[in-house]
Amino acid sequence: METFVQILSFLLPVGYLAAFVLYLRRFLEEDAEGPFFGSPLLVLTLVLHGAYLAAMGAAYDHIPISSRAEFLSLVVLCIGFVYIFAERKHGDPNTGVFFLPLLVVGQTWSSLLMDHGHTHPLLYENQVYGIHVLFTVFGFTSLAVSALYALMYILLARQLKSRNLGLIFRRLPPLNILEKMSRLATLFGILFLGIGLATGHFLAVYVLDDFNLLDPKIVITYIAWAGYALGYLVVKLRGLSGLRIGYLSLGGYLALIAAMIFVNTFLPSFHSFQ
Amino acid sequence: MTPSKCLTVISFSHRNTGLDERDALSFERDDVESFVDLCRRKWSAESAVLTTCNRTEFYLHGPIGGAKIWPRLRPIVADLRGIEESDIPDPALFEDEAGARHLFRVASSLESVALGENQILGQIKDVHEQILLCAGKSPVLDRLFRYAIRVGKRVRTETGLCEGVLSISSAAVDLAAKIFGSFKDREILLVGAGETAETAAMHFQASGASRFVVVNRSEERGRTLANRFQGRFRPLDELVDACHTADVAVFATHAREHLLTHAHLKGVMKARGYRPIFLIDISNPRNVDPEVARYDSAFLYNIDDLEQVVTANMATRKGEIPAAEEIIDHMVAEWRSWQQSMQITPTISTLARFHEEIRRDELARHGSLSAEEQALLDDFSKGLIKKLLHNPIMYLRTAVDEDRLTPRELDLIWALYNLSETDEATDED
Repeated sequence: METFVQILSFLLPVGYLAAFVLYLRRFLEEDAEGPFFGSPLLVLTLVLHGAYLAAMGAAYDHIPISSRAEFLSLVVLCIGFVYIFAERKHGDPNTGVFFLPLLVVGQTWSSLLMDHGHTHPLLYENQVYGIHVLFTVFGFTSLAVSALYALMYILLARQLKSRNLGLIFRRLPPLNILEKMSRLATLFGILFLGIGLATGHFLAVYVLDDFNLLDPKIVITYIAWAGYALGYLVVKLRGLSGLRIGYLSLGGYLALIAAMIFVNTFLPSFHSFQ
Repeated sequence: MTPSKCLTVISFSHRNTGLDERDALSFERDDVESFVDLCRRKWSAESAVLTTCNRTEFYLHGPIGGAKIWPRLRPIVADLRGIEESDIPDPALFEDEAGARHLFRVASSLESVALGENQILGQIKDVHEQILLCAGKSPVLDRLFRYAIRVGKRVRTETGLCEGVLSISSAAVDLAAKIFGSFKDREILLVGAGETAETAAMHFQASGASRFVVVNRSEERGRTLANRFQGRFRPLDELVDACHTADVAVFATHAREHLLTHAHLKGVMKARGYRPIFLIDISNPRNVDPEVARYDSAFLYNIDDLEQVVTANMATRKGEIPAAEEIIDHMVAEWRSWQQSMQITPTISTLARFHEEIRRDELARHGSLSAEEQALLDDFSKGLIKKLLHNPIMYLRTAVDEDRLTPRELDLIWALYNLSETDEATDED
């Protein structure tokens, strides 16, 4: 099992890099014809990545989030899954070139940092805790994916409005597809983060003895979740221009990241993943 | 030495003929079959005909070529098309490498009226399929057209020669597609019922749009246009309401004032939940207040903007010509190399035949030997000839691969071994 983990630790960055090269070629090619092998390769790499984390959990008896490297690897897997789902849903691989570099860098970094010799708290062996982390990470990465799609929407809409039609105009999918992808990722983010928060509460009440509900990270996550849910509802019921939704999504995510960095730096809390 | 064959291209195109002349020369499928058959029977020549609305071109590969073949072909062409010989204008003639280069330029659309158009490659593929129907009979033209298709594909994938569109209406459709993707469930509002609105509607229909609404001052003309596209008619005073549901609005009227203002659009955007609307103002003077572009979801392009898009696309395409020509140069070099390899094939086979004849003659002189001794001698002589021929043949092949074999060297080999005699003797057999 450990050999399997070590082999995959090397193979995953290679797989993501190869997929990125294929996506980049597709992005730069005009009138690309014929089969595209980037998507199947990405799916295969993601499946192997899932197997890698599962094998790691089985081999070392803990949910694989007990170190920065493991956590980073999980984030990469989540981004990959959310992206490939959006791609399958709308059938356009041209946005992959914006996501794949995150997977390549993230997994390479994770593989380089990976050290299985560290100790971990008993909590990391709890199944509910695993579900809580998985959904929370999925939720945050979905919101990140949504922000990236929002950024693409803004870039394309601005090119269209300024009549300055460059590479972005020629290669990105239409505005309505970008908007749908961003909305889908936001909906995923709200659902997953909601489940993550609910399971976190379950853990706090039934598993942990000493727990502070006013922990800064929890407060920020609640505010973010409520903000996104409210925004989603308002847009759904009252309508808002795509460009404004884009700015809100991107701005909201940047604000969330900034808040998290602030908390991690100045108000260290129990969610340190060290 | 075997008489060499050459490639000849006889071209009637928009560059050297008028539309009527091209129409008269346009070959039907039956004409092509008769022409190919005649060329084969009369001159043992491979032939193919490329006919499009902008060109009729004859491709021939045979013993008679260049300027000599056209006077013989002219009556055949006149007869097949039922026209007077004197009505056929002088063609442009290309021989050998220039002929191949011409076809490659045609395949890349460098010779097309609309630079970068894609239709021509499909037409060249059709000609190639016709060549393949007489499999084994036109190996050189088969190879030439394969090369041409490769050139066409490479130019389209490796350069930006075919990027962007070159007409105002196509540019409008292209831009709308970048906002909405498919037009399947999109409503196209045509403001005006003139020729410009009709052309735009045709382009949108060709791109998949099926829901049209026509707003016009004159009901009769408006209804006629609406009926043509299975759409609805609405009077001009309902224009603002019509904008509530429209995704694309094409303004093409002669109205002297703004038909859609910033104030109008305020209510429109609210009513449509701020969904994007693409406003195309191709009227002169303008029908849409430029201020409406301040709304985030309103994308306004007027005739000048669209012309800029077309001009930019044309400039991009022109800028890609050197890259396309580089690909053509490369493929012409490959073609030349293949042609040269074809030229040395008869030399190598005649050289081998010459040595084989000597070997057989020498074996015949030793007919009194036992069967076992003869078998030994046969093996020995075969091995000896093989070794003697190895270096000259390798030299020829390498020289062709490296593109340094000169006709003088080839002549020298034929003279050294007196291969012409061997070749003639074989022909007589």
